[in-house]
Amino acid sequence: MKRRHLVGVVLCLMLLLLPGCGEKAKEPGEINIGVMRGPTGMGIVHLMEEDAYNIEVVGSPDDLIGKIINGEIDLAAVPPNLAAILYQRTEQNIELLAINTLGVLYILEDGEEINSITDLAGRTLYASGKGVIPEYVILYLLKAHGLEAGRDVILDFSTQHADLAATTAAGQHDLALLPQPHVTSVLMQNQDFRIALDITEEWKNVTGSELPMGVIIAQKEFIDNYESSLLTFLEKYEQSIQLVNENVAESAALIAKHDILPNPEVAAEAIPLCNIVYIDTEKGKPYLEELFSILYEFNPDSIGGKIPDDKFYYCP
Amino acid sequence: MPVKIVNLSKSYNGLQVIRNFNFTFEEGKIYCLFGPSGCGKTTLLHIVAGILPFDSGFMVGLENRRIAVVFQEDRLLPWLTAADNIKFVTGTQDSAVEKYLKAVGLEEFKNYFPDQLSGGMKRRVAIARALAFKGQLLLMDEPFKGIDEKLKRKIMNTILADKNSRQIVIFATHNRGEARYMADEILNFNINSLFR
Amino acid sequence: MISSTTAHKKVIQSILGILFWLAAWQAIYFIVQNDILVPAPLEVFSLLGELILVKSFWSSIFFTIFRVFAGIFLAVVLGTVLGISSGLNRFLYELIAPLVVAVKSTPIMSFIIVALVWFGSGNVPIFICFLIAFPIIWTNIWEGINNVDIKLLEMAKVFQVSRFKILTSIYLPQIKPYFISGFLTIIGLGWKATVTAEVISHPVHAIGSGLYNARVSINTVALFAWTLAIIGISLLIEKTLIYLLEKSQGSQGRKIDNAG
Repeated sequence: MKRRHLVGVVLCLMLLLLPGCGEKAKEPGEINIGVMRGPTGMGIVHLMEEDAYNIEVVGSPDDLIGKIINGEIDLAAVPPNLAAILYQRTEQNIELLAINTLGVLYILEDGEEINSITDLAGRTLYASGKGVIPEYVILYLLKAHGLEAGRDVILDFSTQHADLAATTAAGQHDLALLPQPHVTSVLMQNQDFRIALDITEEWKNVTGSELPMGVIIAQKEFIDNYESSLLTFLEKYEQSIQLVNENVAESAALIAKHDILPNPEVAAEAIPLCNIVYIDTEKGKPYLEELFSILYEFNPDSIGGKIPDDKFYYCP
Repeated sequence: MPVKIVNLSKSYNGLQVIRNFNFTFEEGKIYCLFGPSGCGKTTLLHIVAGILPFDSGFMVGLENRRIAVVFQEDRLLPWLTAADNIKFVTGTQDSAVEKYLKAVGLEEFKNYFPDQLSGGMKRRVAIARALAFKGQLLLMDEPFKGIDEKLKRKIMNTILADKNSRQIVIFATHNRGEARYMADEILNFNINSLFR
Repeated sequence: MISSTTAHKKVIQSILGILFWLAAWQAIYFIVQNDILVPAPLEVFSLLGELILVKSFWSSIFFTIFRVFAGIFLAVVLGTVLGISSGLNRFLYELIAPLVVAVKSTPIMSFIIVALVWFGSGNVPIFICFLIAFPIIWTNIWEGINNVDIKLLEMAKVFQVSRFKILTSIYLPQIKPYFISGFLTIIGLGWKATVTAEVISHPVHAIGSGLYNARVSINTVALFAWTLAIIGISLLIEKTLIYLLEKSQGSQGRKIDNAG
């Protein structure tokens, strides 16, 4: 009888201790992830193929925002300025996990005259992305080179990315600032254009810092309650990103298959220019803080009114 | 020059309303188209006025003739006053306007709009309009409908007084008294055809 | 006097109506508890109060109103001239009618995208406003011409009234109610279309740009505030125009029906 008691006590103790120090776990199938079409969504494509996690692709940030706010999504890949805005709007209930995309902006030219930012003087640059990162990046670069928008360089933001890509490819202008994948699509449609400036390089030259343009965020509740599942995910995500950069052809096919980009040829050409990376918060925080302080100077509303504090950055 | 109508025919929807009508209207005379409603009196008047096409025959003497009409429906412009309705056809001749409004007993109502006037009063405006136009051919379709006897007599007298050697008056009515009082010659209409 | 009490009653009733909806808004805000979906009425009004003091707010309003008026003016002039001509000339009608049908059924977005390529961002909204308004005016005027009482035309023909006088004294007065109804409709529609186009093309001074910026920074309070400003101005313009129209009809004592 004593033995039975002892077994029972041990069993109870095991039952108490096993679930892992009070932490719970979520199956991949229960984890909801949202990504947008375009470069920020490309890194996750091998996880989409595995079909273990619930990954949803949406066309515009508006779709994601609602789901993040009401908690339908646990994790999302978004531009950093949107991440900062959400941090304020959800009253700090999301955290930034990693940078998944560096700069994807390029200046395209039908011509050979532009070889540095200063060459833009006296020109009209057509751009898309008013009110979001592209606008502030170009404004900052111009300012850093002593050029004033509206006076030395005319910036025309009338069209959105896809429309600007179309009009550029059609030859309506000879100078355009575009994000991927539209850069590749213009280059493929109109052989007269070349990449005149790599904005990511230009940004590095001026700030000494990388230009983050895509990040992974998560609901604070998810992080607090399911940290182990989160860590598993991040590991797998990093692997997927590595695969994308190593197996370009295969990944391009998957990217088109899962509707991240419309076309596998464009995807294959675009991958190398998309700077898909996995940079954790320890390394990436300075890049983000640099970006946020520059954005804040131009327009505090662009990052939600405040520069995010340290609690914004996830520490494992 | 007289108005001569030769072999005029007109049918509507398969119904022959006017069949081989021949007549000469002499200048200086007043003619009455007499008969019950629906026998073609209006049809004939509209053909002569030039607003209704006909099937066969021809008419002589209508060129260069100013035609004034009093229609069966008043056909006044609802957004113009009584005086302005008359001026619409005569151009601006205030004296003629005043004169004929007085002749039909409406001089106090010259600035009233048609929707402020009774049926008989609207009729009288239409008459005044036609008279003021001073046409060489005056066509009237049931002109005295809704007008009381005393006024009717006054207006008929005005028309008779205005009678002159160059004018032809043709009016349609089913009222024997009017026909006898005004007309020099009466044309009888009935369902079957026109006959004198 | 009877008339003033009824007028007072109407004003009170409409104020009560608005208060009811404000209260409903506040209630929904409490229930939803989410600033991004439904902002607090108080915050919205307070932001609006702040915006009113800012110069760029008024320059945006001014430019947008200008665009709306420009688009409507063009639509009215062209729509009336072509509407009258189409009413009088069958061939012209057959030429324009298919265009109007096509424009009426094409979604605004298609036009906005094409227009962005043709015109600069400041002028796209004017073009869009014109595209929305023109078919309505043209159709209304054409109908008016077509519905002219033929009996009156016959009368004028008999009395040898000049063509010009027939146009001005019979056609024009007859099409007036059609024109007014079309005009009131396009005031509201033109406003919406112009602001929508501004949201897409975001010119520098534009109410639509205010909406766009609010959207990009997920600032629902600003979004609501701008929207309220739009509603307010639209109502003001409509009421003013109706008042002016009624005054010009005053001598005939006719009341305008708001077809809007």
